[in-house]
Amino acid sequence: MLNRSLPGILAAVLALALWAGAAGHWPQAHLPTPLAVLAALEKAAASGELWRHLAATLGRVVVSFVLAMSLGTAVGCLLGRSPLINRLFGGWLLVLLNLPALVVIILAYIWFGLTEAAAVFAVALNKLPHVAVTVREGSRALDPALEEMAIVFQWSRWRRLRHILLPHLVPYLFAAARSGLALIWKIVLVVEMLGRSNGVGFQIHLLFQVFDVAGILAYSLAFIAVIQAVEWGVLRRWEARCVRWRG
Amino acid sequence: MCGGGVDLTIERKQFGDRLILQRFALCVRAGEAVALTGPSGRGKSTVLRIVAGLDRDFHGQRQLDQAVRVTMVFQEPRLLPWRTARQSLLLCQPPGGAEAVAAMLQAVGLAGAEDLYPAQMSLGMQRRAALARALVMQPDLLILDEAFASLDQTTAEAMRALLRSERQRRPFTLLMATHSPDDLALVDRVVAL
Repeated sequence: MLNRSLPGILAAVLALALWAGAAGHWPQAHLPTPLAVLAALEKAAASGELWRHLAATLGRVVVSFVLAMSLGTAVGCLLGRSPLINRLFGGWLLVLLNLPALVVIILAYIWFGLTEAAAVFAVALNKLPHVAVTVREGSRALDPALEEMAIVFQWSRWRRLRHILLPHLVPYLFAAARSGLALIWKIVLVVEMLGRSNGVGFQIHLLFQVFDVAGILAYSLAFIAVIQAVEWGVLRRWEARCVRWRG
Repeated sequence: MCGGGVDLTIERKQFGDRLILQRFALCVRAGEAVALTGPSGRGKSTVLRIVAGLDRDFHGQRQLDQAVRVTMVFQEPRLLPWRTARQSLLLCQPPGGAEAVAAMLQAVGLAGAEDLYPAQMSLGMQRRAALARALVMQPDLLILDEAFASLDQTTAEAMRALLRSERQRRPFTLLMATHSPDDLALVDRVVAL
């Protein structure tokens, strides 16, 4: 256990040392020391502000993540299973993939107002095409031999979906989920900065206006920690359980 | 009609430009056991796939009673990688339920291996599970595509004995493609391709 986590610990110590060393040569206002950031973190935590904003951001991440994953999976399956639908709408996906996140966010705010729904919609729409493309490739990779078996044994559509397509897609879904989590929380911050009155993104925007770099780093690191905890505590364990059958 | 069995006429079957079968007729009466033999590439598997309804892209006619329950053992086991042997059988919703599944897995020699995933089984075990899946459904027509190939002699003979006793207990139509002379003792008639 220790041997396996040792390189990670070493890398973290090295990063802290480099940071502390660089902070010694730069003005404190531009690059505060790790201890100054820790102090800012403690202060924000003690006042309760940190938790309030983390919770707001995490809530948006969760809702838009679930939306993007479920809709993206449905779209990806449709495109992957039907060449006709893929020829018709595959191009839309390409356009969405290349649409800058900022454009989607601004348009959503203009069309739907500065609302929570618009914010979550904009984030989900940014992630949806990535999920759809991954799932589309996954659906295409399904072994037709298994489908033939299901046809001969007269499985219903639902049973084929539930016991053939979805289990086959599990590794693809986890790949999409992991890259999705990382992408979504970054976009949520932009959404909060542009049109919300709470959340880590909103708070960073305020701190930017008063040039509080320690505060900016404190909030960023806190949320990175949250996302890492979700990744290692939930996603990795869940995935390991789902692919036990690999033997 | 061939007495409630399989009535197949293939005028022509091509893969692209390659002609596989021409003017081929097959009539299997209900309850009859027929083996297709012949060198590889003559279209044995193609005939089986057409009978099973997996390949409808041919010139000709296939008549099979709608009520006939068809099961098949493919050349490869085709078990679901993410389901155990027991789950794979249960998912087909066999008439006898969980009890029949347990009994059938025992009959093919997989007692104790019911909860293994295909990746944890040898190819021979997977093939036996595939045979169990086809038999537990109590088919009216069982299609075997080289089902006993690559099993060791003893196991292959045990599987043949099981098939024989299952057919004695509850007669069903059998259509098999085979290379092995040992399989021919199972059938009433041999069709050379």
